[in-house]
Amino acid sequence: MCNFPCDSILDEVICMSKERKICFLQGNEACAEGAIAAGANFYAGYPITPATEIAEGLSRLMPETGGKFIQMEDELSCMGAIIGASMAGAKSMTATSGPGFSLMQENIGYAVMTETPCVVVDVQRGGPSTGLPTLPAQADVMQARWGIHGDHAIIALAPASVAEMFSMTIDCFNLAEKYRTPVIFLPDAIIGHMREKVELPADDEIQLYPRRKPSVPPEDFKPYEPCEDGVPEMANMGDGYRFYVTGCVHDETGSPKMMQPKVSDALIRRLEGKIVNNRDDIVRYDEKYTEDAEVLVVAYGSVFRSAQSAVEALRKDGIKAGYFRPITLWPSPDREFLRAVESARAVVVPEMNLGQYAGELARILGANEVVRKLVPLTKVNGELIRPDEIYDCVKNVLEEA
Amino acid sequence: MSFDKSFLRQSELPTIFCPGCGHGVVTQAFLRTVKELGWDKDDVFSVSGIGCSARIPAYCNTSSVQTTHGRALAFATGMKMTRPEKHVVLFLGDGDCTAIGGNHFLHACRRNIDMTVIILNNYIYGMTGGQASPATPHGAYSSTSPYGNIDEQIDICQVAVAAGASFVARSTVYHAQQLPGIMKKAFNNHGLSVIEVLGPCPTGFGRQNKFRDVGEMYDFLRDATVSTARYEQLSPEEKEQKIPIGIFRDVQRPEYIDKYNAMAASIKSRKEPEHIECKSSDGGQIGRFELTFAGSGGQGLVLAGIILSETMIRQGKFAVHTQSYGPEARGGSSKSEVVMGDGDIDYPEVLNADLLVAMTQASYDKYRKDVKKGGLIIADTTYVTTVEQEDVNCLSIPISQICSTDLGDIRCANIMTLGILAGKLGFIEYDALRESVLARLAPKLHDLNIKALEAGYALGRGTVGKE
Repeated sequence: MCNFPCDSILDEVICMSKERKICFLQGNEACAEGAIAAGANFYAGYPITPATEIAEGLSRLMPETGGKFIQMEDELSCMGAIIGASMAGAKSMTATSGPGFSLMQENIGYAVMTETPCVVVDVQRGGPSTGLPTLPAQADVMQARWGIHGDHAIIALAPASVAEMFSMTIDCFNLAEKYRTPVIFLPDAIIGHMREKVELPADDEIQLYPRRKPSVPPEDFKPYEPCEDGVPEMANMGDGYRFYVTGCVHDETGSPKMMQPKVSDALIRRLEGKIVNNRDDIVRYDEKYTEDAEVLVVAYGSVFRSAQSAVEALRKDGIKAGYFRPITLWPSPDREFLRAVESARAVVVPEMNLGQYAGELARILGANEVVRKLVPLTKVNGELIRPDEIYDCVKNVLEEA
Repeated sequence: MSFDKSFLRQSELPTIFCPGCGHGVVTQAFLRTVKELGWDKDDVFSVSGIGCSARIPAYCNTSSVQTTHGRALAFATGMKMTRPEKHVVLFLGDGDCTAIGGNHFLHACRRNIDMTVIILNNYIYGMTGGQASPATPHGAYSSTSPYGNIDEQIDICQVAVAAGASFVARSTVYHAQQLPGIMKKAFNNHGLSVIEVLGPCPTGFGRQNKFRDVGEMYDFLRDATVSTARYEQLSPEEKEQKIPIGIFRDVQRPEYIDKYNAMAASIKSRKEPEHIECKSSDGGQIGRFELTFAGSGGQGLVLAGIILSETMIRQGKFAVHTQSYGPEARGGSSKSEVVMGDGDIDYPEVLNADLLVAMTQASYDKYRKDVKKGGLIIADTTYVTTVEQEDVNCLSIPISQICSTDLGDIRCANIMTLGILAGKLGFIEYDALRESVLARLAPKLHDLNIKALEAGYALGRGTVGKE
């Protein structure tokens, strides 16, 4: 379980068992169960491989637990519906894969601009276009970051196990509510479709971040006036706080202000800043053997499992390898990575794309960084990168370095 | 009747509408209707997309949301399902509703969710400066049809009726006095209501189409329209020249959220994920053991993998199951892999199989090279006819055929295979396997499959089949 630092905890978690449970679940099933555990009560979906099981699961779970499920006409409307539901007070989610994620982008931008909490799951498959519908990839890493038009910051998490499909779904909802932002959950088809032993927590072990409801009466309420952390309080539609919401640049009252450069500048900088300035609270990562690693393997999602296996094998063979796993791909754990990489002569970055995150790491290392070699290990054939491929790559890099 | 001025959001006034625009007329009719119905401001959600008409919610002192272009109905669907007690009213333009939002419009009508869609049809994309929309008449001029519009005009009301909206009406801003009456009927309809209101866009449409002033545009709305009753009496030639106004449909149809709630109320309990009772491991180490089931879709190989994995978990071990398949819903290749171990398993797929179960010739040919030296292949010789043994062991059993002839059902071949595995591999406990089979299969299938399991177990332990 990820530890989420919660300021306050909801009294009631619906529909979780009082006892811990050992289950054998598919990743997508665990995601659906995680959404229910997070208190989600609205899901809009459209079928797409390899994410369909999330919609199937929630078509059963939502009516069973007092929530709403709707199958929409396309992914554009799924995204619209979950934003509308969230504005009206629901905790909402949708799930898709690459092609559907592309269709959702415009409305994800709307959720960013209107600061509407929601969770978007993208179970990644090979692209572009229809690509490899049933096979895994990690090719949407940059689309998660920059898929929408306009400057913004985003939160995106990459799970590496079925247990994390459950726990991080909850984490995504908590981050969405705390920072009033869409949160992108980025499994790949391996994690979405594999089945694994999961220990589900008891209901009193689950911490939820509640909606940041207004602390002032309606007459004093400004819907986009930020609190100290840069995030405004959120009034649900129909609760007596009447205001105007628009995707246009707006002032603190919500009124569109397109001809006022100061208003635009302040809004766009605040929207980015509320994520960037709170990155210490948002960033999640994992590391091992970094204190003396000569080669650092950076991996996330399903490939992280291969990296773990490879690094353990390398250590057994006396090679000083370590791993660093970004869990929040966005915002990237940049400072943590820079600290972890200190002792390393080289960085190996295995990923199921053509080096999308390696590019981000290069950016973090900076143009002046010449000490370390950054080696992308890429694969785009629909197959998971194997531990021996990482093992061999690390050995080669060490020999060359 | 006047309207309640407190229903106007004063901070957003004056409006952005051009002189002569019809949108103010519709806004006023809306506010008059709301007053007559006695609606509370806090109970009204006004929702729009993009365009001039999309500004109307800004001027209404309600919970007001301007969404993205064409998608207002999708947003509103989420709002209404979350707060069904609220009144949801949409203000859409003709382009917004029928072009970019056309698909959402069809499906909102089909679902019949209790909302009202007011479409302000001024024949043009006004905000962007007068481009042709699906509602622009054939032959009309616009900035994107400078030689006259070659496209045909959409009939929004006919589309709405065909798609299933339960209340559909058309009026014009010339008939301003009638608008509140129609709106009242629409708001009182428990389902999806559509009101198309024809209006002038003097700036975007009038200027380009030889209307000398707004008055002429209003004259057009007066002269070109007839009541639906009179329209029916016209000859086909006369109909060509006229636009019917009035109510096209006003029926009771089951409403979507009512149906959802009835469905939810019929559910007796929350089906929770099954808890698996785990024994503490007996201490025997299995290391990493990799097993592949390969065959074709429909042979139950995914289920076999799941049952085997759950068996290991019951025994206090760990297991990861992965699957891969082609695009076919039935048939095609299917692969189901189980990696078992004493603790957490990192790499989840099979690297060098300790054991391959091949249920078709194609899968045998494809995966036999992935079996490690000294590993085992179990071949269902019902389908695998050519077996080449090199440095692996092979157990050839006509599993499907035995199921078919001895048990009368070929579909239990997957479970028989699990029995064979338990008989053959010492670390799979028969009782735990039996429990897993019972837990995963419907009770009516228990008898047959336990027979298959027992028979398989005997096959695996004994020397049936040639090794």
